[in-house]
Amino acid sequence: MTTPQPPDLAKQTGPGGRVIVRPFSHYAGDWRAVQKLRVASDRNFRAQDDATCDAWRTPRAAELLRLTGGDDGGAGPMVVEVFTFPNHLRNFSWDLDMDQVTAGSGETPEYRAFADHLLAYLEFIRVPVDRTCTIRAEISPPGGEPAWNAALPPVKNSQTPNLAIPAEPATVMLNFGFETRGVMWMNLDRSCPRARLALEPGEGCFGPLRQMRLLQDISKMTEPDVNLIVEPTAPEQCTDQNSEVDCHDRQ
Amino acid sequence: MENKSMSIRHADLSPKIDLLVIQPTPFCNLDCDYCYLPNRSDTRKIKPDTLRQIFATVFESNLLSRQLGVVWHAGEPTTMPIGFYRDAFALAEQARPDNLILTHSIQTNAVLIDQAWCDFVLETGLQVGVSVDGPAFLHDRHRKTRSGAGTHARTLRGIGRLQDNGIDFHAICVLTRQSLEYPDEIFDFFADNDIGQIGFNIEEIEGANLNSTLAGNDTEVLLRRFFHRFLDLVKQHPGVLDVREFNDAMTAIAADQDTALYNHQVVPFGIVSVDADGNISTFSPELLGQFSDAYGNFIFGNVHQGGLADLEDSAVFQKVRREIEAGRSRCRKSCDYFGVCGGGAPSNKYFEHGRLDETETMYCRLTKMAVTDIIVADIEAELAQPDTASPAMAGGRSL
Repeated sequence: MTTPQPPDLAKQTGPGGRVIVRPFSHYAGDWRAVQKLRVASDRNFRAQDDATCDAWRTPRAAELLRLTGGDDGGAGPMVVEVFTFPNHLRNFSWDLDMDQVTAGSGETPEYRAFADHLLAYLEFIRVPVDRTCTIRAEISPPGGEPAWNAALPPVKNSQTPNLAIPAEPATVMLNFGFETRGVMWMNLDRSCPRARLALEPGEGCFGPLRQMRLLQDISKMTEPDVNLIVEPTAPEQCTDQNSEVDCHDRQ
Repeated sequence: MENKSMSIRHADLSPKIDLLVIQPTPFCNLDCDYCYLPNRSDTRKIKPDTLRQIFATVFESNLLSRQLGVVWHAGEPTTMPIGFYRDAFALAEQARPDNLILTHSIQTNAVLIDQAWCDFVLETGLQVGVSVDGPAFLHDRHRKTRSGAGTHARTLRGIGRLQDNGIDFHAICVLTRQSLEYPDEIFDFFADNDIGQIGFNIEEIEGANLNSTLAGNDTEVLLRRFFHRFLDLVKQHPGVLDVREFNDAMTAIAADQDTALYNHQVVPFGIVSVDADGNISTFSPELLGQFSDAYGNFIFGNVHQGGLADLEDSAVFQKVRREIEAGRSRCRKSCDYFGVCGGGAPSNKYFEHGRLDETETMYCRLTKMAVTDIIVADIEAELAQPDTASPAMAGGRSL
């Protein structure tokens, strides 16, 4: 089992950029950002502090406007979009034998079917997933340390999208567990506080942000924690001789 | 009319009554904003004498085959008391020719379904269809009470009672533009609630519903995406959902050359519709009760004033029949999908074009054509992959 180190967020964060959160898919009618967003109270907040729940507070009205793009300020903010995914995908994930998937090549037919279904759903709701991508799993037992954090096999999506997806491939995070999980990002300009987004079970988010990451505080969880991260496959990964992924299939 | 289905039979278009649609009251307890019925606040009720005359008129005609389905279609049929149906079924049984097999059915919003209704269904074999548009956020958008409240919870309560009593039923789910973004959620809703048989009706431009959310230019693309995705889900979960549109398309495509699609909406007396006052119409049941100067409100006679044969003397009947046949003939000559459709729905031709001798409608494009194309493409894709399993339609259907 491999345990990748958390990304060095500071290195990936460009100065002055702004990220806003907005609803995608179902949330158009009943979006309540104030319930999903928390901000760090300390401007000197460090990524390692995320385990300290007390560091987070409800955003003030002006902060909320800024974090959701309601202030209409700034040009071309990056966007994190929040969506839900259906129960049949959640059920499918729980039917997978993840130990088997992560052992050896992980090329089980069940995993391939699950990956196909997951990507087909993301494509249907127009999440800009790469046709060749990596699915990474972070799974933890209740209240414990992460049991494993593994990159699942690269996926060549066999489904043909029904509609062209013009956007750049996104990083997608999905909460397949039973409790709320936090996602944090760092790419905020100085007028914005650091922000944490609550992902409820059955919710996901995506954005053109490699620096989004899951918060690490799982010690109070009473249920298994299962998160999948769908990421565009880095160009160098395409050179893997053993992979089925064909670099020329990238679109 | 909620439950539109097709049937395949030998190309014999001689008039035979397949369905008798009786409207015991125009009243509905709900006020769904896409409903085509113009008089759904009208609390008129059919009189026993009218009911008796309906059965006499139909049973004494020479248009019966061995089976006849009676659809109690309103309004909402369960706003009439159970005692009414008990008496009505007894009247039908008294008048029924010995060799006629009679079945009764209702399409209900299930809001009023209680244990007494379940007992009656179990006692009489009444067939039940429930109108439910999927999860609450879709259903409650359109299916509301007169005060504007959503009805999803109450519909689910009625469904639960049917299920608790072991009563089989099918569901009709109306697709609006909003629905087209949520095939997974609609699939989950029906699967999670153990509703195994569904049919999709599209929100049509019909009667009092002058505009459809599906009338936009991009709707056809969205609807095809929806059905494509839904077919994927049905195949991924074999045995969970039986979808009328997919099964109908498979059946029509698989029919051999010697059979033709029998479309009872374009055949005079294929469907006979009678309202609470005994007024008779035929062809599409949605036509009955619609205002039309040119077509005499599509009322061709009255059960108190003669038999079904007398309708043929009506000038307006002859005009309607002539135009519907002209439309069917044009469909046969011009439409590649005639073999799986049989001539379209006259009601949709009238409501969309103002004429009955038209051919293609939004209903054609969004249901028959789109679904047929998707099923054909799926069959071709399966045939191109000889190592994979055959199409895993729910219920084990395959060509």
